[in-house]
Amino acid sequence: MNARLLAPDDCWSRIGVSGDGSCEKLPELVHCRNCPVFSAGGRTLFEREPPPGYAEEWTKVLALPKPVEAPGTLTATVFRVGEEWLALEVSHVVRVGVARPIRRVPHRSGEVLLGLVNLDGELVLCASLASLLGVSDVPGAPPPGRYLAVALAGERWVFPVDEIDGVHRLEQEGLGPLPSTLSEARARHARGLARTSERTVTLLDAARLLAGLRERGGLS
Amino acid sequence: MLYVLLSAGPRRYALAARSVVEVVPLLRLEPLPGAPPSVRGLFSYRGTPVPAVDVSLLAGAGAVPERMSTRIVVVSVEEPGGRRRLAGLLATSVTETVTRSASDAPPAGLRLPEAPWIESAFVVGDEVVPCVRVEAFLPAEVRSLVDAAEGAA
Repeated sequence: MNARLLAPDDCWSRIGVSGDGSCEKLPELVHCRNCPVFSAGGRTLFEREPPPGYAEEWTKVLALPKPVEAPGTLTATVFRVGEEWLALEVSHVVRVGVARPIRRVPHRSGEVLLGLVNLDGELVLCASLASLLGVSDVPGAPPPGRYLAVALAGERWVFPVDEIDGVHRLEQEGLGPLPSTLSEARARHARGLARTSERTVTLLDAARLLAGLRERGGLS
Repeated sequence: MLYVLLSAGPRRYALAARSVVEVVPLLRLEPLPGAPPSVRGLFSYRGTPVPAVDVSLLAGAGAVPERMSTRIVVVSVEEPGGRRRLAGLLATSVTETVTRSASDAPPAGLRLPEAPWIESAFVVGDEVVPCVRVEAFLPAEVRSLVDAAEGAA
């Protein structure tokens, strides 16, 4: 059975991210995968008859003992600031969204502390991870288009970020030591280097990051 | 308390999440000769033969269709005497959970002699959802049948 026939309307390939992007909901939702229409369409995909051999394959998989997940894995959001790919444990990440206006704070805003951002009516401190960690910008790149809202020991912060790669599982055991070539500013806030399937990322340490933000942001 | 919602025919049923071991796709089932029609067969769950009960058939909505969305909810059932036994519930689109807290309206207790596996009902949105009792899913004759199989293994 053709899945396309069952789908109510494949608007995502007409006006969504796979189409011309003209859907009026798109600026608000950022990506079609955040849209209920897309979710409903995805669900109808599962109303198909299974391909031949599907049940047999699963029968074999489920007859085997359950694979045990290594206890030392941690889950982290991987994102890019300037030239650097960074990771922060997902328990600290509150949300990700499209960059919003930053209000400068007179006599306070500087290189690290950029100002305040309105997050659901709450004013949250916004800081530049690039300045804090001494990461250089990609030459000619547009200003960061996303923000990452985090809660560090209950304190909310917002960081402008260039790209979000999503949530990855990192192996705690495989956490590499920091190379001596890493800048001192970055090494001070990091727990180690971790590998995702595509790249090496610097895993940030939440407590040290908060301490660094307070110190360099002129808040302590 | 957390409940898993499963569909059987046009309706949805709630199942206490704490009894769920794993939700797996439709597997190949070995039919059991002489078993009640609702028991569609045995499957190997991690090396243990487990009976699969068709919730849709029990609910009078015909056999569960073979779709990509068909699921077997593997549940752990407590037997009298404290033993736990695994059973598989065949249903479609097991995609949602619902949380009922103590402050929500209490579920209405139900006693249906023809359907002992329905325990109570509560309201989710505008839908009345019967809540199932996993202990009552397996007919007694199937229990003794599977007991023999376990004893032989």
